[in-house]
Amino acid sequence: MAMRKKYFPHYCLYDHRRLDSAGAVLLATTRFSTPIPHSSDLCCGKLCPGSKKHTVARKHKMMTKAEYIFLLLLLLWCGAILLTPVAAQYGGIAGASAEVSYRVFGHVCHQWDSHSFHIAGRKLPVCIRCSMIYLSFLVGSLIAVLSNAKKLFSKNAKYVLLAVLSPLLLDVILNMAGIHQSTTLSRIVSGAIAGTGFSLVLAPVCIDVVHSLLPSHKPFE
Amino acid sequence: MTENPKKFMAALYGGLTAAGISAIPGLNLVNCFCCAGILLGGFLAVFFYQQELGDDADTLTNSDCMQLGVWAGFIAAVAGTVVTVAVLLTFGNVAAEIMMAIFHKMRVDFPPDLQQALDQAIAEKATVVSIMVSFVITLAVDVLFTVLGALLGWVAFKPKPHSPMQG
Repeated sequence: MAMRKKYFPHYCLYDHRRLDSAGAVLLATTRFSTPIPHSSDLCCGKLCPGSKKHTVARKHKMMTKAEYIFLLLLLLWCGAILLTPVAAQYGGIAGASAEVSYRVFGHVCHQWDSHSFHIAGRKLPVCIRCSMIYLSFLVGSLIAVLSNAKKLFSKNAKYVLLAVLSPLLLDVILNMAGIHQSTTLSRIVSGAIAGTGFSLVLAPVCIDVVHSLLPSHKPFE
Repeated sequence: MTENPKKFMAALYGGLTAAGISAIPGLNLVNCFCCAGILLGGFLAVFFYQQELGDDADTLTNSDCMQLGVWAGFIAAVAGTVVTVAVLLTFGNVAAEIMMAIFHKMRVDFPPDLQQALDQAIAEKATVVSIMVSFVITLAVDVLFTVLGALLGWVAFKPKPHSPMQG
């Protein structure tokens, strides 16, 4: 019962218009994110955590389509990072894909050998810090999807972002200033904190965006 | 009708900021941290748009932010490629030389084959094909990260919720 309450909150926290049973807008204001009592009359009817439709989706699938797509995209990104060094060992299509992957990730990261994890003797296409950010972003997003993090961090998102970014910034800036020497451990810890924090705040927003891009999505007039 | 020019100008400022950070040799090292410069471009686009909206800031939505991010990313990729090519044609591969100087300062010893490949990359002239390939990759990466930056902007600047009873 406790699990049920956790996954099916009684309030709609999404920024949708308040509608009556006929679908007409009750209020003149276009958007508000104040909790609305969970009911088919008041809720927007989209796949938000408070709607009946969402509750049904949760009962049967545990995750909505938008959440699946978002997690799949993240998995592809992280998979590309982890599989690149393995693919680089082979010739042909695998080798060529690895070359493309190193080139694409080269736009995102310095790819210094001494600052990177290695798999099968070859470096990952991104450094330790970036690897940890992406991998913990994936894990954090999974947590965000399953635990309804939007409710947790919607009010204090700015401060959460600042808090999770500060260890990473301190590690980089103090290292550049020569006050402190960045180590593999400091890169792993600061990257993991930043990635997890970012995911808890950003994942619900990204899922909203994916949801709005799906063909079945019908925006309000 | 006045909304689109506002959106375009905000995306232009954000995109040009991201392009400037990405294309200026030395400054582009900021992007070594998960495209921080590009993320900043998307974030700034939302910031400028929110400033432009003024009293209408309550109407800012996450889909507006996504559009701003896409536009800013496109502008950043185009402007960044133009500036990079201009710098490359005028001064040569300054960015690679700066990187090599940093490596030498850090006393990083490359294996002979890698050193040879790096020297070759620095000496290599830009071709139309290499510029096009680079542009396509830059476009994909820039759009992805400016959209993420814009969504961070949405998280930071989204309108405060008000009670349904306020109307």
